[in-house]
Amino acid sequence: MASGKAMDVVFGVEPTSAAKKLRELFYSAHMIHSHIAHFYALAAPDFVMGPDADPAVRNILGVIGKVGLEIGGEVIKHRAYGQQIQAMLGGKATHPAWTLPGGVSKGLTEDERKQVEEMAKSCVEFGKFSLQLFDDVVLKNQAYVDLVVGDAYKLVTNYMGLVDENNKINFYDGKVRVVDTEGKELFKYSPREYVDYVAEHVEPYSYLKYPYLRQRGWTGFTEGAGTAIYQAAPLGRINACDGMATPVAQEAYEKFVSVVGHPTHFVLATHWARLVELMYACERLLELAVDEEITSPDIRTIPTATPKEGVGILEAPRGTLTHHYATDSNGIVVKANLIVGTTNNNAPISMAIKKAATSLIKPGMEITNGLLNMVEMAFRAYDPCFSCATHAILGELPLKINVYDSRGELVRTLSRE
Amino acid sequence: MSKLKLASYWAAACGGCDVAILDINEKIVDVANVADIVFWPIAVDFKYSDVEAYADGYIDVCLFHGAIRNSEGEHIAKLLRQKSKVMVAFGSCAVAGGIPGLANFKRREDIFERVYIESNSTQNPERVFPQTKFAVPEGELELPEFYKDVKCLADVVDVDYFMPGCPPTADQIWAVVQVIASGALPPKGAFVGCSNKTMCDECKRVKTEKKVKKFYRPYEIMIDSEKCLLEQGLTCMGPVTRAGCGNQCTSANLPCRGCYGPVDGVIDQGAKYISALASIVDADTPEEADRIISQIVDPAGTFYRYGLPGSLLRRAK
Amino acid sequence: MRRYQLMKKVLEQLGVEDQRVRLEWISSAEGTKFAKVIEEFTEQVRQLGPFKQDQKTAAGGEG
Repeated sequence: MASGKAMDVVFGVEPTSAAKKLRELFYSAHMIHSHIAHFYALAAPDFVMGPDADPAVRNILGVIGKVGLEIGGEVIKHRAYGQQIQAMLGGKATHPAWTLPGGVSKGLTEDERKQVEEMAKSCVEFGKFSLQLFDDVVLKNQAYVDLVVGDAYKLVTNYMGLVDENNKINFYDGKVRVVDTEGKELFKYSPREYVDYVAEHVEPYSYLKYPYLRQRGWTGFTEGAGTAIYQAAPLGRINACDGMATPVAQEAYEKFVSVVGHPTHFVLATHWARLVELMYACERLLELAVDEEITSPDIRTIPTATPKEGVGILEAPRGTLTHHYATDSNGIVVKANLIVGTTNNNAPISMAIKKAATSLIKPGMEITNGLLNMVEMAFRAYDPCFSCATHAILGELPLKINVYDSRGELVRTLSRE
Repeated sequence: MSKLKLASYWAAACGGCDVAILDINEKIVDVANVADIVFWPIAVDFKYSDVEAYADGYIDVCLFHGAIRNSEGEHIAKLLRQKSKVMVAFGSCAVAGGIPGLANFKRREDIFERVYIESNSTQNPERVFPQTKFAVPEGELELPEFYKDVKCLADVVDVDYFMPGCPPTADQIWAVVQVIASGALPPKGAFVGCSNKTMCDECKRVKTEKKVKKFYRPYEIMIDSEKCLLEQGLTCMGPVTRAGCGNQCTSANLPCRGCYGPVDGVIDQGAKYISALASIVDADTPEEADRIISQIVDPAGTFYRYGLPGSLLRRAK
Repeated sequence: MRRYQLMKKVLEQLGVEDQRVRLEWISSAEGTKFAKVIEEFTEQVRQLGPFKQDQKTAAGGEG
């Protein structure tokens, strides 16, 4: 979708109004699928089963076993709705062939629209249910609340997210807003200006680069006021915005802020922010499903200009996604530069892991797998996707923790290799 | 009967194959009833060390997705091969290199130069490149070696079955899981979860006479949703691509991109397509033919979009 | 002929130089010509040596 937006610019063509709405509808469905998958399959096991539960049950099947097949069925059903809507438009949910410069290749029939509307209504209810579940499982459990707002999972940085003209979160379009550690706006930029605001640093021990705020220069892996490090993804977005554009999500946002503050530096609050966003995606999906223009056949503008260069930005589930292409006169890409969702969080992920490890592991403490998992929870909050982020498609990132005693002797190695 | 032991792994992959497995939706619970998942990094928290501890052949079936980009991918492929009775190359990347395989158009040094030096958001005046070994005060940090070429799974281990698709469809995955659970395994080397017909054989679009005077790219024309895409001048890979996806891209009114690869007996999908495409060029003179062919602006990238590492030439020379 | 034109285009993109591909029509009666063409072409490819990519690998040790 970001490449599609970049291509609009490369070809100098404005998509039709209906095409933009269809893309946003599609994209809302994508967010629904991705956020449900992450929360229930990747985050919930730690909270529902407990951080130190056996890995054999600390997974989605364990969660279904514990919360019951019925709720498990609802989770599966609504994630599937997200996928079905994407497949309805793009032929398939993963890697759809659908966006074209100036629009999309296929519209929505009235029959399909009705189906989407029904699914969207159901998703809105499910979004509310998910927020309630978080309330019941996490917020009503003091031990978990202490975990979320404790120092072990706190990282003070700047934040980034795409916003509309009212500074509300928008996943598909708008300007990128960056706020500082106090939540004060530093700047807002349009896609084509990205390189004036964001730079990437290289370290010899990582295939993945480390983005930072260009104007501050590379400050190293430092947190606190003045750092060049920023965070993206749900936490970045919720801190960089002034609220949500739909009513139930706005209500959830206000509750979020009242508990964890604004901006919030608690890494584990990301899971809650993800559910607030899920709520918004569901409501936005419904709004678009009943938009009278959504079934319009006017879904494409044929480009006439000679293609050249363009940048497209949107919010991937895992952070602000920037695609920049230069093409030859046939529109064949000759150069590309991508800053992928997870890439934004490369430095914060390293820092959050270190913070969690140094806060949780104390001298004389028995080193258990549960402890390792609690360190990993800092990592998992970012929902990292390292294959996209490196561009090199390396696969799984191994995480290995060496525990040293005060004399610098290696005590134990914890490994997810 | 004891439960099946299933494993899944991603090497050079995007995660789309994992999502495709999740897309069997409520049937994932049925899978859990007949099988134990003993390794699946995206969803289940077992580690490499757990796999190392398994006896050889402990895993009944391993669905391996992703191409082999680096030494870690190859190492884990070999480990899982040793621990698995049946190894399935799952998805286009494992089968033929897939989208990551497009990197074989470039040299490794050029990729590094572009990513770590030249790209315009990169600030790297000291020309720092990732190193396989790097000393820090706490010890030595290691990175897997980034190979010169992207390889297919079968280039590094013995593969029992091939399941193409970017990603394979949920229906096909479920069908294959059922076959595996029944124990009625197909002959070694078989392509599963797909058919041996071509996409064209299964496509319901109206076909008349295949003669093309002008080739177009999808953005240039309003595409007719009923008519054969090739006849509209679009380079649809349908004639040389294995069916089985349910004609997904063509149903979204765009040409087939060839992700299921060639049918049995065809060694090189791109070469086959050269033959198919050349035969429909409607030209009276060699000059006219030349002009029509020149409208296909990126033939190698289009014909080998999902299969360069698995093709005859394997990479750009 | 069209196949040949399209194939040349593909091979060019894949870094296979023009001089490595040649199309000739030779009938079964033209034994001498066949031998001559094969000899010429073999010599030509020998002159070219390995593909550029492989040369770089051999020389630079960037395996």
